[in-house]
Amino acid sequence: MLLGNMGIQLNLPFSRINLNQEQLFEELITEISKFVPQDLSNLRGRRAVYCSGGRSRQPISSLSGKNLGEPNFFSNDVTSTLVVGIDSSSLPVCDLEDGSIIAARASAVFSNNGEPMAYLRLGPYPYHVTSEFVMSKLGINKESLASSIAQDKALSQSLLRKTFERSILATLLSHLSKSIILIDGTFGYGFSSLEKLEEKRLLGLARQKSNSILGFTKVSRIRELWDAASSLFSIKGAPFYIKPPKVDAKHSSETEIILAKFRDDGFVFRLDIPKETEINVLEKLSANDHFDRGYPDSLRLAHHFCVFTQHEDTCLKGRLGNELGLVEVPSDDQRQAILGWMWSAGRGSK
Amino acid sequence: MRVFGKTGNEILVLALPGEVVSQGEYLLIEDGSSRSKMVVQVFNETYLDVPGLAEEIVRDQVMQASIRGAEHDPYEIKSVSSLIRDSRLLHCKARGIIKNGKFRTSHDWLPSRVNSKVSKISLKELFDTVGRQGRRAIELGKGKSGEDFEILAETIDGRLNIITGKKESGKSHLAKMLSSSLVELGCFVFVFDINDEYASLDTKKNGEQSSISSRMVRLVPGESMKFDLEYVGLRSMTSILQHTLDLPGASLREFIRIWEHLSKEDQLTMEELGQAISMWRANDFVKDALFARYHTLLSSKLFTRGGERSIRFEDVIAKSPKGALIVISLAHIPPHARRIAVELMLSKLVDLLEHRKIPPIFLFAEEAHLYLRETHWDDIVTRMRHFGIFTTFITNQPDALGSGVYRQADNVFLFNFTNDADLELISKATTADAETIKAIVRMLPPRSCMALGKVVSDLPVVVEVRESELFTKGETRLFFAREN
Repeated sequence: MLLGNMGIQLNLPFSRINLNQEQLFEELITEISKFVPQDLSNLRGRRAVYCSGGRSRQPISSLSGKNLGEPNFFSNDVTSTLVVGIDSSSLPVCDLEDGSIIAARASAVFSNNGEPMAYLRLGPYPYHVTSEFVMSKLGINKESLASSIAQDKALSQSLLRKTFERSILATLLSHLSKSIILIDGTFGYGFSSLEKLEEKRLLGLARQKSNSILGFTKVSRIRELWDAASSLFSIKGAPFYIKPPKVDAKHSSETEIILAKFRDDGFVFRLDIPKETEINVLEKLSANDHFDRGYPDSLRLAHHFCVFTQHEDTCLKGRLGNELGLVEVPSDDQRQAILGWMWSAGRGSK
Repeated sequence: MRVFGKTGNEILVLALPGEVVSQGEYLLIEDGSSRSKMVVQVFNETYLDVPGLAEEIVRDQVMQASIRGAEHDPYEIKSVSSLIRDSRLLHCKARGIIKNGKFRTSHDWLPSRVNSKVSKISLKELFDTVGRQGRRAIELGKGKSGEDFEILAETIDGRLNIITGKKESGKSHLAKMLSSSLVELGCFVFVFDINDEYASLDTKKNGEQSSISSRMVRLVPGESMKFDLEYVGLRSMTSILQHTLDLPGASLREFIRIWEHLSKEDQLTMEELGQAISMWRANDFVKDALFARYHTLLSSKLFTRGGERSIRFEDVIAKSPKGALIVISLAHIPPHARRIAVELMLSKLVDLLEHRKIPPIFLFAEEAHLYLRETHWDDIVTRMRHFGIFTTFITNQPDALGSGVYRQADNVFLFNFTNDADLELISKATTADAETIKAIVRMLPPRSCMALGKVVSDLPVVVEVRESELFTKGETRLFFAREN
């Protein structure tokens, strides 16, 4: 009946097909009922954080109400220390027969005594990402893995960006000493053993010159950490940190996860820190960087300086098109063409 | 430059930073695949709005303002970005199409966005194509791109012109330049000089006599401009009594009888007129009314008494057959005498023109609302034009002239206005589109004007009015200047 109505509305020639719609419909309902919870009534009255635009939001109070114990308050150590925020971004420019051209850019912002001092911005550098490139430049030795990475546009883009960022981090680590280096995201989340090795190497480099690397995660995807951060949000006073109970989060064996709140009006963030990191590093960081809503300014600026705007995307395409004499092949936005403007506007992951 | 888009008669043209085009300039859009060319005029320019540009500008500002930094940009994306950021969208109005070398005011053809070439077109090229009739050129000044621009005197002949703009924008300068140029071309120009600034046109800035000095006549009502009653005539006198002095109908009838009586007796003088009113047998109210007007006429000192010589416009014109600038100085005249003088002059000139005793004249009326009654403007605009009085109104109060005057105007020279109400009023009344007027006139620098109407074949032109070699005395008298 329902299919019949849909057919009429969509002007489909259902009437010519001999189809027992009602029976089919009943069978479908029976099949779906096997794994779809029919009864949501047990959720009645439960506390929920609504998603916005397909994205999870951070609650300002814990949903579970778990007690994580007493926070460890610490004071600011005003000893002058250089804080460096590093971030990178990548942008797919065009697709070729054997790979893609992906542009990468990184920036580093240097802060001291609570004020940003200087910045470096490198790029955009366009790379022709093929399986050969993945093997020779991105450190993947296995041909089949390199090939599958090159085939996967999202994966190759992510690997390029990370490699690019890590190479800049390595240079900074060998150049600086007794500094605090902030990176956006987590450690030990690589998919390959090579990447883990690289991270190990970076931590070794940091140790050599008494540098500290801290990974800042804006919003944790790990539900337990997400909920734990919320439970700490309402605690008065800052800065403090807390070591959450063991969570099932992938991270390097050489690092540990803490939750920290740097300012009273700020959020609580997940920090990935090397295991040997002393609490004094957090004290120096708190005094030597400026924090807005609890997030370090050097990282925020580094993010803003490296992201590609839509306008830069246009400029980059124009410049490469001219420089390399690329011949643009007519293309279509297949999703847009199939679903139309109304449905392609949806943000949920498909 | 490239065609970017079109909405109605508005064409958008994309211009890169190096392609300098100013508001008011004309562009030619040539479509390689067609024989037609489109003439458009830039009336506004805006930045190109590219998605993501705002955040990039903000980011750059933050980077530059807060901290020092170093960048490595091997592909110089930043320079491409700067190029795009400084690119402008020229908002143009389609003014017409050139097809087979002929211009027509239409925009019913859409040039190709891909094949079209956009280039500047000089005013000379434009008007050579459009074609203007006449051969007596008046050099007006320079166009936006610095080229000389001249108008043809024939396009002012027989026309109603308006020069308007805010204070100190250069209206009087243009009026003086036009009036002296017309005199040089042999025209007879009357000027109602409210601020006594035309008298100096007989002298050049370097102190030498100007080319029109021998053809200039300055008349001061009550002094060098007096009329005997016979020359004035009954028609002009009744016009003054009725329109300027508001004499009621009954009294006017008695006055006509007195006038006719004196005329018959050949005793038409001011003295006899006073005597006759006092001796006339009439109602006391009528006599009082006549006496009141008689004394007002006397106090104006416009009428000859005791053997004084009367001015005759036909004689003034006859004395200067190669054109004359007749300046009626109204600066130091009381308001009522000013109105009587103007009323008298206009009715007398109409009378002379009607009887073909004088050739057609050009009349420049500065701040006409100070001495012209409103009903007279309609006369000037419609009736007097047919007799041969071609008026140019000069005012800084556009609302002082009725919207009817603007609609009848053949040529308008618009100087800077910033007041929205003034711009609204003018844009509604003139032939050019409101958007062009509002966008361009607001931005005009002093001494630059936008010419509209027949003088520019209905193609608005922005002109920087040329410097005059004549000594122009229009400056305000200053208190502190005494100390210098």
